[in-house]
Amino acid sequence: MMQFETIEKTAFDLEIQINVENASLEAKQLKQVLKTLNPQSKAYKKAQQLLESEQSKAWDALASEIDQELESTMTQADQKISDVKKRLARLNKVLRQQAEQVVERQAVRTSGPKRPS
Amino acid sequence: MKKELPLISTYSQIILGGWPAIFEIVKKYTKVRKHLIRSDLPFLSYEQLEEVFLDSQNHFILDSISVRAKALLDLIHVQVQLDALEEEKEEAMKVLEQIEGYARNSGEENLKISQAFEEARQCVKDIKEAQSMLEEKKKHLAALNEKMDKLLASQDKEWENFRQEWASQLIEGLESAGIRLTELEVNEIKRQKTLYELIERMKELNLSLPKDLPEGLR
Repeated sequence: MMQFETIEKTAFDLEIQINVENASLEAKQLKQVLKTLNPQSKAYKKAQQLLESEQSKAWDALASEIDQELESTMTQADQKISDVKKRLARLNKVLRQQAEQVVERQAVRTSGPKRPS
Repeated sequence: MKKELPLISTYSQIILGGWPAIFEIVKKYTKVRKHLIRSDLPFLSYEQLEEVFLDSQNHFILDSISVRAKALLDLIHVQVQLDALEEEKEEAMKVLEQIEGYARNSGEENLKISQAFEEARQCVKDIKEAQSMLEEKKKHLAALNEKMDKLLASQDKEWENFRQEWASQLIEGLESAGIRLTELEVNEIKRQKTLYELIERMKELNLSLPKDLPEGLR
């Protein structure tokens, strides 16, 4: 008849053996998981970069659409402002000249030869 | 090299918070640090922006912000030109009135004056045309915001589909490797997680954090 200590030891050894086997099974499983997931992880990164780049392109296109649309308008508006400024300066000059002429004519009228009394 | 978010001024934070689509999407991707979110204000905190900007999956939000900022600058530029044109219009109107007054008072036929009168009228007309052209552009720029909102939403959806597809592949991969997952685990893999949430989980599990993680998220 086995002694209690012997039984206990046998049970303990068996448990260790089972644990070791389980651990080895888990390690195998883990290796299998890593083997499966590694290429997936690489493919994921690649797909992520691709999507990111595609999305960036859409924003770039929108930005250039804004650029193109606005550039011609702004150039036209800038041109109009500078053109109008020049024309207004010229008009102001004409007005000044006309006013000077009026003043001159009035001066001539008031300081002209006096009628004989 | 560690990624760091440059200082974002309060003014910029208010502008960013003022774009409803951006405000909502930033809120969506800052789930964990809710205590740092001022829900009573349309204002995005530095912590929220940091969390969103430093997560590489949110690149499309950054792109959207940069294009919006560009459109806003253009809008400001258009408004500056409109203001300049308004000043010129006032000047042209003044000149026109002066010429009209002169022609009325002098009572004489003057070729120069009638030419000047026509030119002043043309100036006012040109300015009005330029103003309406710029007003059209203003409307167009405002309409572009709608286009940007739609693009942002569609790209967010694309990421959502992307995550779901890859989560399914991951689940399949785990199952084919002999790992049986519970429904709870499957749902957890499929659930969208923010960067900060993942960091918190890594800390809980005593896993070492990625080296290039910004200080603010550590």
